[in-house]
Amino acid sequence: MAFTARSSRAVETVTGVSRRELLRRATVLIAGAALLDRLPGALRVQGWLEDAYAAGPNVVEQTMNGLVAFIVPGRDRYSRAQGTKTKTPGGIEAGATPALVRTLDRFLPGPLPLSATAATILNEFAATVDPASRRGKFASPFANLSFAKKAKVFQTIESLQGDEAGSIRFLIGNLPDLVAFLAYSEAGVYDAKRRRLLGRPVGWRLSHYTGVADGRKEFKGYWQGRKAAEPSA
Amino acid sequence: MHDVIVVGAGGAGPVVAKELAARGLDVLLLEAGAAFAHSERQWSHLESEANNPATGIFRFGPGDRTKPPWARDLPQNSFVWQTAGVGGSTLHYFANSPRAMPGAFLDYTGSDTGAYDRQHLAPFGYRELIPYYEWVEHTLPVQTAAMGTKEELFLRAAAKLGLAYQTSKDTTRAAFRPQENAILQPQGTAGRTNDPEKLVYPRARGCTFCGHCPQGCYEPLKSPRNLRAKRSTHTSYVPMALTADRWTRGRAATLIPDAFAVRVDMERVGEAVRATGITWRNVRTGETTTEQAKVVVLAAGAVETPRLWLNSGLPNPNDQVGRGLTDHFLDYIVGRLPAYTGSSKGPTSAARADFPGYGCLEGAGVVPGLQAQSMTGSGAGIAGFYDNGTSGTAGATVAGRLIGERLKRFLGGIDRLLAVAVITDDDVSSTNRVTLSTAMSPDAHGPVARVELRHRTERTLSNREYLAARAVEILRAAGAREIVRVNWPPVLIHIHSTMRMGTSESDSVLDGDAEARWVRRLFVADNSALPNGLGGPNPTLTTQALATRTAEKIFVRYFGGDPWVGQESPVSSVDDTVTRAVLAAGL
Repeated sequence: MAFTARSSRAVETVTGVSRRELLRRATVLIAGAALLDRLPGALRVQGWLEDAYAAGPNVVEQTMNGLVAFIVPGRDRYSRAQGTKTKTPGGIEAGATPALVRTLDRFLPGPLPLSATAATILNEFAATVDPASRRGKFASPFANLSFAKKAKVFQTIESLQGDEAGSIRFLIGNLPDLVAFLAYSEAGVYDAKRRRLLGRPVGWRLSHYTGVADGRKEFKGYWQGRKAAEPSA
Repeated sequence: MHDVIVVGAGGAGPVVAKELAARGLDVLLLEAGAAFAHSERQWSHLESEANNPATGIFRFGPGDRTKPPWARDLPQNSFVWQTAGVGGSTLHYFANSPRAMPGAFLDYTGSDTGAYDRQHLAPFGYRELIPYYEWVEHTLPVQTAAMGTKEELFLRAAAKLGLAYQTSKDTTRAAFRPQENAILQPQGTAGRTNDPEKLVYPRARGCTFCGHCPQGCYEPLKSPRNLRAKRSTHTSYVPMALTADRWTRGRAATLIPDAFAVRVDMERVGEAVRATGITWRNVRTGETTTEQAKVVVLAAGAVETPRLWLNSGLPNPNDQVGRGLTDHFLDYIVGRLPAYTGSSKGPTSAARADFPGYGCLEGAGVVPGLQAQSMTGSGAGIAGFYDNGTSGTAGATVAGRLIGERLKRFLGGIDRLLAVAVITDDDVSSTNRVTLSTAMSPDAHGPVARVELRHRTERTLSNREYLAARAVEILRAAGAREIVRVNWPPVLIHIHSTMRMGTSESDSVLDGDAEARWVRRLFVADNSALPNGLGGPNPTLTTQALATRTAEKIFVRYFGGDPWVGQESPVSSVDDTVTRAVLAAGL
């Protein structure tokens, strides 16, 4: 394979699979999300793809909860499990998890939901960072990690090199900002059919945002009173 | 047979359509996305509803939002922010309309000539473009931005640091200024009240300071479409194109939304190849249609235009189609102040500082979701944990993704933040490119685009570091006590030069008139036609000026007409004649 991790340390998993092999499988898994219509036969041999298909909604949801709590921790049990429980609500209470799953699965629809792909990658890398995470409170290894070890998962994935890892870097690289966007927007309390809010978004409360408006009393005049630039000489 | 088919109703296509419709030509304007005919009802200030990349109103996808967005293959940590639909990415843009740096053009002789990408200059002089700038600036119109608190803070800080104050539209030295924005200045109650009852046209006119530029702009409420505050092409050039028979003695252009161009049709004439029309697919019905034209203009954007070229099998003898992508290698620096900044209010960006030879900085303020997103996407790891071997903080308190309790604490008061976007003067690199993906399945419109960003030159990297350090200085001078350099990965908001004009046949796709070197009667008018990154300034105004010039070249070369820019006076899109035409046409 062309890609390598920046660190040369070989990391063996509890199952005896090298990190190199894990990365190879992850690459194929990502490709599988897009190529399933063309290459089902080739993908059947990949253990990760089977894991992804086998990942029930519960594991996907737990993984995404573990991710949402990582980005915007709150008063929930996932935040507590990672050691960062706070006094204020976080992304989970904001409703970011179902919004995240919806967004991912709509972004690239296919036989294998993109949320399951993302969850499987996070969980497999979680198991490389901390093999004990397979035996925790949650069925999702990623959700069982501490905050620092979740950061290590992202560090490992971001260090992947080579073309084959490009799609992984894209998908996982965009997850934190997507979660933050959803947690601080109205996504978790929006009734799309009726186009109305069901409550005040948690992210607005956290950021002390006054809410959407058609205008604000904020006009402060013009710099040095100039309302127009000079034309070209 | 039409006179001209324009592919794409984004920032540039409607400029060509309006100018040629005003000359009386039969113009067909195709747009892959939605028409947005009832924007006040259809759009929303709510962020996920508007900007969610999968489901939002302003996404790169079909108008039918029950359908998924159109796919792109991005083989790196990166994000492309584009919108399909009439208005294109000007629907979410900040409307910043600076002119380019003169050093990016062929006629530049300043003492800092060596500070620019001299290998990829514009194949004409900056001075030649000025009349076209003036034409567009009057048409949109472009006006000096009014200030809110965040602009006062930015501008005072820049002055405190000793930067010069730029009063001209032309940038000749390092200086700060209010933005020249395609946003109507506030009048009446606009910007002067929070009372929604008083924020209705005509009591409110121009920018109401709502803070929702990226969510489209339908303010003031009940204003005619051509009098909306932000001058997207949905508001300005498209209404003018569609009513060219009413406000002037032209011919109304025809707009077809939901029409995805899948092939540029061509024929061989001796040794030459010439464009004959466009085949497009109705994205709602799947039906395909072929339309013929004397001239075809591609304006589908700097990703889709090269994709369409490659999918059409058009000649590409020098292998330059799609190559040379510039994106200003943006970065984002955010400060937290002990006092009110009004960051979530007013125009998203209304103050800037330009550094010729390096690029630009601009103040920015967005609402919570986009602010949080902007602070968590990074190529420099997670602040406090790892940095991916990147360049450092540039003097900021920390660098990288801000997540967890740090993010919550920093975002604990959105109106105490002050943000600065770094817009780098980046070099053209042939390995940064748009090509066709072999990793992803083709969609109904053919192989999808793959956007690769593989190389940054030393000059690009050092320019970005220089600008990041200046941004930190401005924020400190403004009173920021804690500063985050997010160090963005490639965030493709300014995307240009993938079908670049150039001085040399060996490294460009278009000649000096924006006509394809290898296909006659085929022009490119969007950002992809730009020869380089313009020295850093936001590209839309320059692209629109260039599109005006291209429209004139088409009219003279293929329709026997005379030039008009510099000969006639432009009509503003907010002129009463246009308002009457828009209302009469029921737009």
